[in-house]
Amino acid sequence: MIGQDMLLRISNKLIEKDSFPHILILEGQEGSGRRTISNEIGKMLDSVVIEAGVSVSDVRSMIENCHKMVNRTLHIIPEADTMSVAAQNAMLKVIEEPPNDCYFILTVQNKNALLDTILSRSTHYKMEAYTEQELREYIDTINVDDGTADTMLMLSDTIGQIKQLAEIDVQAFMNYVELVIDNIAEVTGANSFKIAEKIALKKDSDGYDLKMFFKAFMILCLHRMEENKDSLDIVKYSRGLTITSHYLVECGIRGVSKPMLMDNWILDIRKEWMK
Amino acid sequence: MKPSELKSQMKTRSFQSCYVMAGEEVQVRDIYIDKIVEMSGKQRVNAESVKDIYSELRKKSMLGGSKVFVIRNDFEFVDDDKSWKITNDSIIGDNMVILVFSMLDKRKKFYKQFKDDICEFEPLDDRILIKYIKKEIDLSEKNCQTLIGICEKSYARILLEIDKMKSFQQKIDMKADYIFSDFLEGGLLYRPARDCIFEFVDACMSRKCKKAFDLMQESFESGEASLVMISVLYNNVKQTLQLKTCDSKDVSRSTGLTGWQIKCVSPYVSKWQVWELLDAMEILRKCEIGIKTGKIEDCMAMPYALVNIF
Repeated sequence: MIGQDMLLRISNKLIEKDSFPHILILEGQEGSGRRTISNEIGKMLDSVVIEAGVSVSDVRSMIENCHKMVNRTLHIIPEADTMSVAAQNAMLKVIEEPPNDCYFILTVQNKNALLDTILSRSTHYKMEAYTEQELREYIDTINVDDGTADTMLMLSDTIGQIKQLAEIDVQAFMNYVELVIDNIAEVTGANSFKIAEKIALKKDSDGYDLKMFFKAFMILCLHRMEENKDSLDIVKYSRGLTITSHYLVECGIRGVSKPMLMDNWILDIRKEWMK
Repeated sequence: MKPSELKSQMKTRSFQSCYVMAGEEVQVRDIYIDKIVEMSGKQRVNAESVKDIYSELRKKSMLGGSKVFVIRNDFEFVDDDKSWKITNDSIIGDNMVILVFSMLDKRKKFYKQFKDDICEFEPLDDRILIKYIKKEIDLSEKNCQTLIGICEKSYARILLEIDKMKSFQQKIDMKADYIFSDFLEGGLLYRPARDCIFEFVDACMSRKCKKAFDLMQESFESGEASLVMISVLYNNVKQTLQLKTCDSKDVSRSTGLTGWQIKCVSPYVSKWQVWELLDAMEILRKCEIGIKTGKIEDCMAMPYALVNIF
């Protein structure tokens, strides 16, 4: 387990005092180690760890089973903020009166997607941001050259994101983003939509991650701004940076249509850069 | 078996022990079932499935009084071919079983095996429907035809609409044809909502404003989600933009659109300016995000988008 020392220390103390919260909400972005730390807590609790689904039927069978469990059990509900209102309501009973040896960890990206009734009855913890040192430590465990390591550090905030980058050719990815920057305003409108062909806009489709693409675009815009300090192009890249940052935020909205996001980003950048 | 053959059996009271009835014309079918029960003089028992009445079928009541078991939509029975013969052999005495299906899959073994025995009630011919309508209410032939079209040849729906008009006529002494025109104009004749999302998108892209709003309403009534409508409309807007801005001779290669997609959106290209299509894409995207973040209510998003696009 890399990072999250504070949470692990607090959890340890609470477990020693036998006052670990029965319902814990772990908030953090994708790849921030919520599942890993939940499993660590499970070991610290010396409990059976069960991962539950988010559908109403999954929640109901989880509740039914937790009353039958003899051993101490930790139920992990990953991406609990995707639960429907019906599923969350189904959980309320067990949240109000959890069985003695039953613990629940709900991992979320945004805790505000949960019902107030669940939030008010649980303990929340936000995952700590990884330090550069911690990310470097992880990168050192995977065999990459220094240049790639630096690029990975620039693009990633979490271990999960580094793992994602480790699966692709980072240099080829950055070359692709450079190509987009150089040509997005040069090609015809119809052709410009083809930029999206290399981006994974649907679940399980091949291509680069959209968030990663936007981040890389922003980083390259920053570099171009430094290179063009004395020319008017600095304005162009500054606008590109601003536009992309808005789209990066929207990328984080659950269930947002990535194809629509990508199309409109292309149109906005072209509109700005072709002035 | 045709309904006419069934009618002959009823006239001679030579009933079978088992009937299978299906078809779209539900009203006529139910009339026949009621008549069979009445003419057979047996007690009617409605049941959920053949399994439920299996033991009853094998009973011969000491007090006499056989039964007619009417079973609706037992599709489990249709799929279980082993039970067909057993059930038929189990019907003893004067008991009767009528299996009624709202819809029978013609590809299934059950239909293929008993095709000749199944009595299918198809929608009645227009001439017969006009005759029945004129028996109930004095409508002109043209209006009868219109009513038949609106009710999609369903005798049950026609009777309901006639009932409405007759009730109105009792209160206000007016000719049936005038009442019919008023009902038609006022939207008082029930038209079930249909799946018209593609018609809706076509109306939007063809800039038929009123039609687009009407079809939007109909789509909502048929249970279509705003997000689906936004998504389909967005794709059409984007494809129109791609086609409009393409200056290459090889359109398909340049845009990535298939020949079919190009053919579908070609009529729209001349109706829009590039800036209008760009605006439309942005509005639809904002509506989509608005719904997902809760900033726009689902029911308001599509009307809001249309008002801004038009």
